[in-house]
Amino acid sequence: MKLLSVDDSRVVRKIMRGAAEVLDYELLEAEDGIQGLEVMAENYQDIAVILLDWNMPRMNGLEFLQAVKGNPDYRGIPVMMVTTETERDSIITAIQEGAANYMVKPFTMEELVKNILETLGKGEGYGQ
Amino acid sequence: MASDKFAMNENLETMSRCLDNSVREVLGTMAGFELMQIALSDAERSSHPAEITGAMLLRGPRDAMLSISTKKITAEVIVAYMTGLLPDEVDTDDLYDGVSELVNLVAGRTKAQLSGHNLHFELSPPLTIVGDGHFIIHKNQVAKISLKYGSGEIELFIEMFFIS
Repeated sequence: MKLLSVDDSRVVRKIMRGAAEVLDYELLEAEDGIQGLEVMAENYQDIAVILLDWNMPRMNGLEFLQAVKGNPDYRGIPVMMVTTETERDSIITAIQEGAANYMVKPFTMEELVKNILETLGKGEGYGQ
Repeated sequence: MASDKFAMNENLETMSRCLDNSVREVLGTMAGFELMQIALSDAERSSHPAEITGAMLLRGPRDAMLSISTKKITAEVIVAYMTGLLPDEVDTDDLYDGVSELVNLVAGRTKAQLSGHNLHFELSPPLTIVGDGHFIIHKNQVAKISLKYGSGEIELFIEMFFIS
């Protein structure tokens, strides 16, 4: 299975790659929402979780989230927002639009892995 | 709204404290560095030559620019610790993007902390300035916060100066 990181920062995508390696998942990458949808079209059946930034050029995270949740083929894939955006209204909006989890940067690798597992629905049994 | 009445002297101390907390939190969480704040010399308070700077604009009750300046080798070490790469594996694009992300993280945490003090800011996209020995000069009377941090060989200069 695969994780998809949609983030305009290559350094953040490398951090996500580290988390994917810990979890033994392959990482797919996209620099913005438009590229994210292109990756989705090719790989959606193999994607377990989408790790989504908020502020990106061309198509931002909220627009991408709406596109994913509006597509019957994609809407079952859990989306975890990973962002510096901390405004309460933004968090509520993301959850209302269908985000399964919301993680605010900065974070440790352990916190990131734990949140991905929670989003995957595997949080309770990991590492035991 | 209280945020419309931006009393510079009263809020500068709050902003400095939030910025300090944010720098320590971001570098501690993302890279594992325990930073010590170091007193700036008079010369460093005026300007401090750097090799790479990440910068962002904060739009709010008073507009400001936040910058983080350092040497390239320091930035390489920070990006390496953030990503789990070896410093030698950090390429130029990683370095430039990493410094942008660093200032983005610090600005994001500062914004979040300031909102708890009823000071609300919007953030611009981050940018990176590169050039050996570059420095930022301010007008003499500009209101600004200047902070210097160290941890081992690491030395970082943080500035927030107000442009309106």
